[in-house]
Formats: sequence, structure tokens, C-alpha cells
Amino acid sequence: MKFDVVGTSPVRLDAYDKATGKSRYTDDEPLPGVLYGAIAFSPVSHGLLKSVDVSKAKALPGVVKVMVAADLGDKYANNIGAVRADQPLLAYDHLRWRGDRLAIIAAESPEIARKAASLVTAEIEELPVIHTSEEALAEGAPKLHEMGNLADSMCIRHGDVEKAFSESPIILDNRYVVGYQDHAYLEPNSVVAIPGADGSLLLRGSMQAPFYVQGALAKVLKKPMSKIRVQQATTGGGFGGKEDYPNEPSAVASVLAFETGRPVKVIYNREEDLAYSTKRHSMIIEHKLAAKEDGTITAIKVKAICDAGAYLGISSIVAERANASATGPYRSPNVQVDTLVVYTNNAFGGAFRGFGAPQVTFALERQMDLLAEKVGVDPVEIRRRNTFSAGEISPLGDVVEADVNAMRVLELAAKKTPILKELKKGKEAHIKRGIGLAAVRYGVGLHAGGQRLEGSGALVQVNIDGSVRVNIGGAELGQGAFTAMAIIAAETLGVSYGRIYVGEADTMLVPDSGPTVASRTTVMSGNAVKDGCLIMKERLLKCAAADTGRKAGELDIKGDALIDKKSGEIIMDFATLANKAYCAKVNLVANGWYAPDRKIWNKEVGQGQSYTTYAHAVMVAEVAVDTITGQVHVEKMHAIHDVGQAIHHKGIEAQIEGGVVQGMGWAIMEELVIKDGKMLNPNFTDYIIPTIQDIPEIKITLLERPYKNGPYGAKGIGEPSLIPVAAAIGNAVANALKKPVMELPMNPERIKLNLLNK
Amino acid sequence: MKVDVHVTVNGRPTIWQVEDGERLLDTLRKNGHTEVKEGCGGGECGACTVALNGEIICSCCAFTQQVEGADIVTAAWVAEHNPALIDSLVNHNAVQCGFCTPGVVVAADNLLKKCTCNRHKLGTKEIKDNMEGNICRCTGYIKIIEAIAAAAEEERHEV
Ligand code: FES
Ligand code: FES
Repeated sequence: MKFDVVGTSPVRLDAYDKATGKSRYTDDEPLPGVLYGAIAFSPVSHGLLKSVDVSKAKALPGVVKVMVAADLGDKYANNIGAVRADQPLLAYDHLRWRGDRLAIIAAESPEIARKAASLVTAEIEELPVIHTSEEALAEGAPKLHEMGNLADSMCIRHGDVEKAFSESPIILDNRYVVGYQDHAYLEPNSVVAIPGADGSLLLRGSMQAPFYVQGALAKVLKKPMSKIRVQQATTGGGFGGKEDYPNEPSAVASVLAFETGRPVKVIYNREEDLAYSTKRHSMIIEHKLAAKEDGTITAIKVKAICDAGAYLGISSIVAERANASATGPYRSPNVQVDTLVVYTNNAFGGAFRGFGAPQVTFALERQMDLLAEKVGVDPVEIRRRNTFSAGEISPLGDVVEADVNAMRVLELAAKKTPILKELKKGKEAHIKRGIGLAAVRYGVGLHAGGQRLEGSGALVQVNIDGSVRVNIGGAELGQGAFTAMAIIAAETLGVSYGRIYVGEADTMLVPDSGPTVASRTTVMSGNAVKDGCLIMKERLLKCAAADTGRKAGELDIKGDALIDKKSGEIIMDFATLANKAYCAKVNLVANGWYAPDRKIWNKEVGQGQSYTTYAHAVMVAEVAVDTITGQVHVEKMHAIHDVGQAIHHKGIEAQIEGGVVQGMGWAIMEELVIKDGKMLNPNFTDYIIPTIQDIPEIKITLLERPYKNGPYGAKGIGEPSLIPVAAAIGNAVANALKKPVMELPMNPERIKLNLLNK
Repeated sequence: MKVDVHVTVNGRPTIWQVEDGERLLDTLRKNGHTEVKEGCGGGECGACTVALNGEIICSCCAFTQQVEGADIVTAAWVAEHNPALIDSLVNHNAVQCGFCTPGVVVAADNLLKKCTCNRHKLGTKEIKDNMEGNICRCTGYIKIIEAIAAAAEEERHEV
């Protein structure tokens, strides 16, 4: 199909303002009378809270308000749990992790607020710390919540694994351990709460799910949602980290704002952000795979244990995707997956680009390479033998879609990268080189378990000067969502990209559109924008027909003008048309809406239609491992992605490059050091993320086959770009060292240990 | 106790009254230079990069009292005086969330100045060596490198 705007790469809507420093992020907005909030966090990882002493904090000049749990009284609800009411806004009785809040403070400056927080003391009886999820599940472990430490679980039951294990000649039974990852978006969590005289509230902040924040604030403040307006300010990155966590600083700021009657900003510093915001879950994955002699998989049994930390947050939802991703793009007649979500005193597990899939993909793709080795075929061939195709029943119990691209991306990878080529030996004998690949089947959008949130809205307004404003419920985190929306709007309305302005996400303008996660915005909000624009276009053409005495069906809007479809004759320009429509009293605001079909899902056995559609990718990594220092150098990455139709080419490349580098960080360098529940490295000197010196050469191959239900054929790309990265690097390192790689991150310490193991 | 500090910011002579021990980053932001961002406060990320007397520094690591008499340049100045660099970053899609970008802009402008003096072609290694203090979590750096290299080439052909 030929498009006018789709598939070109116009300059991002926000690029100039951001590059020149004009964009205002939350803390950049001048606000008279603003106070600064700070939080006194728990000094222990587990304990009983006897009392909190805030007298010194209160006495500090410049402090306006100090609150502990008791001060919330009946006016506020002391509950900030996103999915389950297991998390207090202010701690009382039981302290479960270092992120629990003893007191919150509002003061005239951020320095005074933090100083006051440091003056808060507490009487605490310490309790034994639960260090790992396995410890938490052990008999006699101290209970973090009344229900016990197993917070949630989900499963897949498909066929009979035990029978297959007893009959299969090849069994690979391994245990994989993967570490946490911090999002390290460059702008730490930031919000500002502005109380209205009529009891309403305006909350602005750095976030990816304004509707989550609105819901959480309504609960905490005990106010109707109609009185709570949440706007997403320009946001300095999210990657999942600003999905549900902003509920917490938002609630802190809002309570303090109502108590003081003044706007309150809560701006985390990097240390607070690293220590207390959510993380990619650390997981233990027991993976048992059975196959025939030729490598055909007969059974997969997985037990994935996710360390949720002290509260559930949205761990259940993350675990749901881990659960559904455990078998990848492979057929297996017998599958048993159990995914457990476990309470501990560790870091707070949450959403992070990939959402549970990168961890299980690492385990699965390592197993696939071990299987290839056992069978004596190459890594492509083993995957070729097991990748399913259209019409088969997948291990999730659904019929594999007719346009499935799993095999296509694999063959592209095989064709375009020298998987089997003998790698150049390093000049020095201590440098070992390796190559590895990994595949992913990514469910675009929300899992069936969360499908009630999937509906998405858009508002399209045409002004009498011919300019167009679009608002969506999705957020711009830096990924380029608003630019993609402008492209879709321009394409649909037949006007130029420059006419479209996309305003910030605002709960008062667009109906609840769910969170900006799951690589869903291009498809969901994009379809909503297209819907709104089609409604608008129909109205404009109807009006034009009446005005010109022609039939609406003979008219079209193209190239910023009303034209005669057949002859191409330009009848009037778009602004004239808009003005005419206004004078003819046409409603120039349209509401677009999109919701995918309802999916049938049986949670008891984990079978059904998990996702609306899937995006496939194969990642190939080439590494050089220095066996003296233990350092892994990722030299080349080749990303092969099924993207449907690209809406913005450079934007897709940028997403992939960013995802690859972030995934590489998790694979080889990023490690949250947690001792007795306390993060020991909450800074970028010790929590090391990739710099410009660390990046590999990245080659990108796009498979563009339009997706029938995507706007102009588009699919999501945000997460598939990261998910297979660590797995591919892991396979490459194993290939280089000729040793199994069972843990992430593959930092020098682990590589050296690995080399010492026989 | 406030003290007076005399500086030139983006070409304009200014007197700041600052608290003892105030960070240059905070003074700049309080005085409307919110283009200077705080990403870490510890000299680790480069979001707060400014040029001080022609050398790039992390403004979160300098005390304002120490910069008496200095000439300070932020991204807002570069935007006005080196629009070609901004164009290049924008056209290469090297801006995503944008929080690192003002720092990147200052560091890149500084590098381009140095390399125009020498009139040599700017290689990837030199770009990496000069930009390693600027962390970007969104782009994977590739488009930043391409944008700076292209801006340098353009400048070289102009001279
Ligand atoms: S804020 Fe100064 S280096 Fe990060
Ligand atoms: S663009 Fe987001 S950190 Fe660089």
C-alpha cells in the first residue's frame, strides 16, 4: 500500500523543544507557593514499628507539615496497593521493606524537606529478613502478610508432561537465576499536586499511566474520580518504571497538598529512585525440556519464581506475561508452567520493558541451544524444527494466527547473519569469541487477564484555521508515541503532518485508555486516532457535499485540500473546508475509540487466547570474552523484527537500538546489590549502566508485513527490542567459553567464576 | 548568609546571590535555566552538563561560589549559536525522552568547537571519548553519534 505520511520519518513533534531545553519536565515548571515533599523511609528491611518520633523534624524551621500513619485519620485511606490492598501509604505496625514510609514532610525547600526526613526516628523491633523467594516459601518462614508469602500464582496445563518425560530420550533439566534491573530512566520520579479551592485536585507528573494515578488518588483521598485530574508532564523516560510506581509519590504529594493548601512537589533524587522504585523482577527459573532424538520438543515444564518484594504492586500482571511467554514460538504438545509470585523483604518488583518475558526467554533460549548441542545440529536448525506455523495449536491453547511470522524472522536471521561461520579468533589467546541467537514471540498489548483495560480513546479537534489537535489516553515517554499519532492522524485526515498538534495525556480529555505499556500505544491509541479522524473526515465530506452540490462519495481530502476523487481537481483548501464546516455548525470534535475483540481465557489451566496479536523477533549477538578480566564485550547485534507496517522508520530504529543497549546492560553489567533487603549500590557509579563506550554495532532488519488490525498495519516494537537480547548474548557467551551460562548478569565476577567451574 | 557571585551566563553578565554551599546546578535552575537537568546529582550522568570557561563540567558537582567570574554556557545558548547541531540531532532522531539532550548538546557543541579548530574529520572513537560522560538510556547512543558526526562534517565543509 502507498501512504503519504506513514512510513516516512518526519521530525518528531517534541524534538526541537527537547533539544533546545525549552520542554518543561515536572520540576521545571515554575509554581508560586510550591512546597517540597520528602519521605522518611524505613531504616530496616523487616520489623515491628513501635513508634515514630517526628518532633525534631517538626521543629526544623521551614517545615510546614509532617505526617505519620495516625495523621491520615479517617480523611484518607491508608492504602496504595495497585492490585491488592496490601500496601500502606504510611507504615504502621509491620515494616516489610526499606521503601516503607515512616513519615512524609512538606517544607519550603527540598533541602529542608530532606533534612527533616533525616531527623525522623523510630522505635523498631527488628525481625529476621527474608532474603530470597525460596527462603520465603520454606516452611516456618516469617509471614510478610496474613495470607503467607505466596502472593499469587498462575499456570499453564497442556497435555501430559510427566508421560512425555518418561518416554523421551533427551531431558534437559536446568536452573536459571536472573537478577534485577533498574530502569534508570534519566528523569527520576517527579510529581506535583495542586489542590483546587473546590476540593478538586490537579496532579501533574512524570508517568506512563495517568489513569492508574487518578484511580489510586481517588482511593487515597476518598474523593470522586471526577474531581481528580491527572496530566502527564513531559516525561524523561519510563520503560515500565513509571507504570504504577508514580501512584506512590503522587499520593504523598496530594495528601500533603490538601493538608497545607499549597502545591506540593515530590521530586526523587537518584538514590531514592534507585532504592525505592520498582525493578525488573529477579527470578529463579527451573526449566525441564524433553525432546526426541531429532530434537523435536515433546514437553516443557517450567517453574518460574518471581521475587515481588514486600508488596504485590503489579507483579501478578508481570508474572502473567512471564507465564504466557515461557514456551516462546515453539510447539510442544505437553506443557506445564507454574509461575509463582512471592513476597520477600527485597526490592520492589514491577513492570520493566519486556514484563517478565526477558527472564523466561533467557531460560528457554539457553535450553534450545543446549538441545541443539545434544542433538548435534546448529542453533538455527533446532529452532527451525520446533518453531510452530499458522493453524497449529500453540502451547497456550490458541490457534496460531494465519499471518504468523515466527519462521520468517528466523529464516531472515539465518540468511542475513553468519550464524554458522567460524568466528575470527582473537589475536590474543585469552580473547574468546562467540555467537548466539534467541527468538521471541511477543504478545502485543495486554494479556487476556487484563483485557478490561484495553479500550483506548482519542480526541480529534479540527479548528477553523485548519489546524488539528489530537489527544490520546496513551503517554509520550520518549518512545515517540505522539509523533506516531500525528502521522496516523495526518494520513487519515489527508492533511500534512505539520498541521497536527498532539497534546499531553490528560484524564479530563480522553476516557480511561489503560496504561502506556505492553508496546500497545501504536496499535490501540493509533486505532483510536484513526477512528476519530475517520469520523471527522466523514463529517467534513458530508458538509462539503452539501456546500458544493456534489456527492460525498465523490469527494476526498488529500494533500491538505478537498479534492474530486476521480479527477483530482482541488476544490478548496483544508482551512477553508474547516471554516465552512464550522459555519455550517458541524461538530468539529470527534471521539475515537478502539478495543480489540474480547479474548476467551481460562485462568485455571492457562489456556485460551492470551493476546490479540504477536510480534516476532530474532536477535543475534557476537561477543568477545576476555578470559583474564572476565569482561564480556558485545561486538555486534543483529535485530530482526516483525513490525507490521513501520509508522516512523527512524523511530523504530531508535526504539530497537535503545532496547538492545538496555537489554545488553541487564545481560552483562547491571546488578542490584542487595544485602539483607538493603540496596547497597543506589548510584550510577556502582549500579553501572551502558555508556557510549559500551555499545555494540547494531544491524537492524525489518520484516514489514502489515498487520490486519493495526493502524495502517502497525504492530508494537518497544519491548520485543529488548526481550531476546540477554538470551542471545548468553548463548554467544556460552558459545565462546564452551561452558554453560545459567545466570544473569554475566558480569566479570560471574564470568570468572564460570571459568573456574569445571 | 548569602554571597554575591558574578558570572556571565549565555553571554549575559549576571550577579547571583547564593547560599553558602549552593550547587551551580541549583543556582542555574533557580534563575530560570531549567534546560540544565538533574539526573543523578553525583557527577555520573551528564544531564547537568554546562560549559564553564570553555570546558564542560557537571554543574551538580560545582559550588556556585567557586565559579566567580566564570563564563557559563548552557544548551539554550548552543541552541541559538549552533542551530546546525540541534538540526542534526533532531533530523537523526537522536532525541527521545530528551532528558539527557541538553547535556548532550553542550558536550557535543564543545567537541565540535575543538574539532573545527583542528579541522580534522571527527571519528567515532573521538566522539565516544568526548561524550562518555553523557548517559542516555533511550537511544542506545547510535543516533547521537551519527548526529554529531554529521554536524561535524557539515561544519568542516563550511570552513
Ligand atoms: S546531574 Fe550532574 S552528572 Fe548527573
Ligand atoms: S533521550 Fe532519554 S535519556 Fe537520552
